[in-house]
Amino acid sequence: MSTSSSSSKKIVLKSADNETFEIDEIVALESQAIKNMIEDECADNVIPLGNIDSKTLSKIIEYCKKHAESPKKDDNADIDEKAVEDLKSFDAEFAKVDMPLIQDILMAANFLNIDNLIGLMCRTIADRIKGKTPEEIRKILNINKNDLLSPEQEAKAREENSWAFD
Amino acid sequence: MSGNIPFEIQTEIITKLPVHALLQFRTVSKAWKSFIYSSNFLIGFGVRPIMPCCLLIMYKQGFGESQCVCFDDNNVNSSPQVFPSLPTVICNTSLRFWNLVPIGTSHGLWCFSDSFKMAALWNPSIRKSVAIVIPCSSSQSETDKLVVGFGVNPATFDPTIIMISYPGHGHGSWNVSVFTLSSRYWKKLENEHLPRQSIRLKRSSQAVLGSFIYWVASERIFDSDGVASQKRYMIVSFDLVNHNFSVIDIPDRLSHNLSLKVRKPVQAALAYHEYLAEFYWKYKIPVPNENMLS
Repeated sequence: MSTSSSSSKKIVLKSADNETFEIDEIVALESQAIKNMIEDECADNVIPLGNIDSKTLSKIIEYCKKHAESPKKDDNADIDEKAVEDLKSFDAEFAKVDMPLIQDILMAANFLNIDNLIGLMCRTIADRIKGKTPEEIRKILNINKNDLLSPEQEAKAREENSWAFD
Repeated sequence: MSGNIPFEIQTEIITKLPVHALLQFRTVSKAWKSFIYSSNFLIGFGVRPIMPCCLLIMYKQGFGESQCVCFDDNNVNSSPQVFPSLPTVICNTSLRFWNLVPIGTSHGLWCFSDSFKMAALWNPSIRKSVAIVIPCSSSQSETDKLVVGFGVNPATFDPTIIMISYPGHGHGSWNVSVFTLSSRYWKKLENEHLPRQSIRLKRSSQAVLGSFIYWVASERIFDSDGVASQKRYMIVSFDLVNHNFSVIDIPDRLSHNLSLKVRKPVQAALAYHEYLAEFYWKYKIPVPNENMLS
């Protein structure tokens, strides 16, 4: 690998439970939010992330490290197919965690603005909920009780689409 | 980390769900229901070919409800998709589904029109429809002829309807408005984008291929005494991306023939629909295979 990590600039992230993570700046730049902070020079050496716990943050760093290391599509026209496959299988393995952690990663990725990771988590959730009932989805996604359809509205919607429930 | 996933991220999840799951998930919450019913969703999720070439048959069972059957005409033995219930929006408006005439199909969406006062967009893959009022301009007279065209802009996937009116007899200028579902607005086209005003379109000859809607068109040729001598046929196209018309001349040998003879070579390149009987019609048109999603 041409980019040596030993000499590059370091960034420290601090989780909600006060654990610190020292990472290369290039890894941190995967997050559009952190990138903006660095560009605007409003980032101190330590960036506190008061709404992300250490378990979630370490997963996110694992993801960003891998994606920062991988050759970007626009870097090189004849991109190594093996690298693409490698990244795909990394993503698949990465998503093999329980639903609460997936949601935590999704919320954190949204906060940090990491597009690829948001997409990966949304696809993972869609994949896991597609066989569930509406009731189960409400539970999984913790849908606000005030936003539920009334029993009459629900019955009407079911009747309208009765052919869709077979 | 606590709290709920913000709704805009939930919509990211929703758009990644398969169609059959979405049909059930309309009852998850009010927000999910209104999102799945929204026109943004119809644009973003709906525009996709459900089959490369499909045949739609509508029929009435006794005095009961109308029914629709959709199947792949390259493989008639494959199990047809039956739609026993009609699109809800259409049922809720003054549109009588039975009076609807097919305008065209593009990217898996169908467009119908009811005596050119209303248009309906129907997406069979998610069983949703949108009714659209066709504008009636003040300068329009009752004898004006209306042509409605439909196609999906392949660059933006935006369903587009075009309304053309011109005097039914003799000469007279074209009046053209274009509707896009993303804007929900009819925009009048300026004269510089229109073809020669002496050209008249054949309503039944419409087809969409790539980013163009095509019609067979004709124009009367006048001799030096000002007497109409003959008709010349041509093809008129409308560009769904740039919103302008072009006239494509066809070889002389064909352009002076009677319409029926002209139709044949045109039919080979384009497609056109046929009415079979009062209570039974079918409509057939190839949908481009590009952008096919699995």
